[in-house]
Amino acid sequence: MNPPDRLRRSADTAWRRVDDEVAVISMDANRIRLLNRIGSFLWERCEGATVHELAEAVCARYEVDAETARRDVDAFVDDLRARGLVTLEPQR
Amino acid sequence: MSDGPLSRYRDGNALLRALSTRAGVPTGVHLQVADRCNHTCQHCYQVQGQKGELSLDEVRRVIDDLAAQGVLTLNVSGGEATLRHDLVDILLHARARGFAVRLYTNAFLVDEALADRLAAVGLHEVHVSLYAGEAAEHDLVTRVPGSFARTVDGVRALRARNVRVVLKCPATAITPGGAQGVEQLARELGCALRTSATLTPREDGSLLPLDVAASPASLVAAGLLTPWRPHGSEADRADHLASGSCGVGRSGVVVLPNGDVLPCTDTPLRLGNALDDGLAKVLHSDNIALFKGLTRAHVHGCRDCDLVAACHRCHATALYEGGDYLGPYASACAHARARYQAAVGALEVLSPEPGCEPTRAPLMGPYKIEREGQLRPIPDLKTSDDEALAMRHSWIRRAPTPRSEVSILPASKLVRARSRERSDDDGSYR
Ligand code: SF4
Ligand code: SF4
Repeated sequence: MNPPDRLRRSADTAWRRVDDEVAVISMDANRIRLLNRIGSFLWERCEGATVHELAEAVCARYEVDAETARRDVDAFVDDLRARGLVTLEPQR
Repeated sequence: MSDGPLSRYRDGNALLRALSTRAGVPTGVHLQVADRCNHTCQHCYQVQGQKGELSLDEVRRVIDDLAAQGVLTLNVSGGEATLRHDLVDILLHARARGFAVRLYTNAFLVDEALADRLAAVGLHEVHVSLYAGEAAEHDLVTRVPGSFARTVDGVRALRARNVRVVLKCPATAITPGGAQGVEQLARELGCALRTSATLTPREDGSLLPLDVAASPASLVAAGLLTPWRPHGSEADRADHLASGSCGVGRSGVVVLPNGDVLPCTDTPLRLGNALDDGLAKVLHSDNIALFKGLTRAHVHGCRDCDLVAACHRCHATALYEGGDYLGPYASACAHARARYQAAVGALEVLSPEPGCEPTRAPLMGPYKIEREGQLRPIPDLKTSDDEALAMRHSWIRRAPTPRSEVSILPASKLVRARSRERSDDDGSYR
């Protein structure tokens, strides 16, 4: 079986923490995605991580069951991918 | 598309502005990391080897500070940045601190191995200067035989890895086919193209780079100067005058290889040193306050000129060429006249209005459009506010650099502010 894909932030983003939230700025579209507390937590750890590792990190940090964490992380990653803010790349 | 559970989407413009201006800091910073170059381009504004360079650790500290200030984009350049062995470490650090990163390079040293490493960084764009579509013209500018082939190979290597490349082509008199040739190459290589019509004086004040400037007529012929279009209304003109002509000290600043901070690459005002003074202090100094509110209305003469909508004047060039950062200068007037002429056909410059300064160069503005195709030079009026500003910021006026002066060095403004160890010594990437 192939190793799971790893997340990579798009090269066309900049990001800054603004108080509790991370703002991800997409340079091309000149738009900003504001992440909430958990989304910000994930963004700051996502480079090089697998979806599974992120879900585990959420479980370790927040009181949430594994299934919910996995569902939320999946939805989060799908959303960011759809907007071109992250990619999933095969491990080299 | 509905928002995901952990994020929400906002139109970014307002927030972006709020992010960068809430602390009054520029959105983008130009970070020069190398005080040396492997090319000696005829039109280059830089003087190499005078400033010294920060170590990797010091550059990292500057990047951390820039992030803490809220700066969002970093343009990493030199000299030639790839001459540093630790360039990729610098870029990775910038990326890890959340910057969108552009690399400015001549790509001469970008081989397959370096292209791999650069692609792995995640660069927003790589900007590569290319002066012509063929070797003889390009190499004539760089004065490095073989540079065209290596630069194009470097670009190919980056494109093969899907790195976005912007080819930058300034027009010069010695590359008449330049823009057209580079446009074709850009298409072939899948690169964006950015041309420019103007060159700037050298950072030590020498006007030598302007000796290879393309003539206004050739720029019009090449489509690099477009025909002038008048303001639609008085309100449009008022808006134009109320806005800044460029982002100097406002949307961007420059950090030199030794950490000194300037308002832009060409404005010779040291705002402080990023390491010694800290960016919080530098970016909020009295000196930088001047730039925050700088509009076209601060430029005497130009604000009264009927060609102001046609004019690409640069404050820094104005200082060196005309002796006044906030005044007209001959080469900008020549470009504006060429754009006006391209719009109206024949052009006649009439005798100056009474009251014009007797010392003004022939044909120079400000102008009144007397009737279509006829420009009359009018007096360059300075107010007491202009004089007060010039008193407060004494550097904004100086004797213009004599056109004939071949000023190699020393240049007082480039005196080494601190002596820094070179981060490496043999000058090659490998
Ligand atoms: S002063 Fe000239 S060189 Fe500096 S930012 Fe403005 S246009 Fe560019
Ligand atoms: S006076 Fe010359 S530099 Fe000033 S706006 Fe008119 S054309 Fe441009």
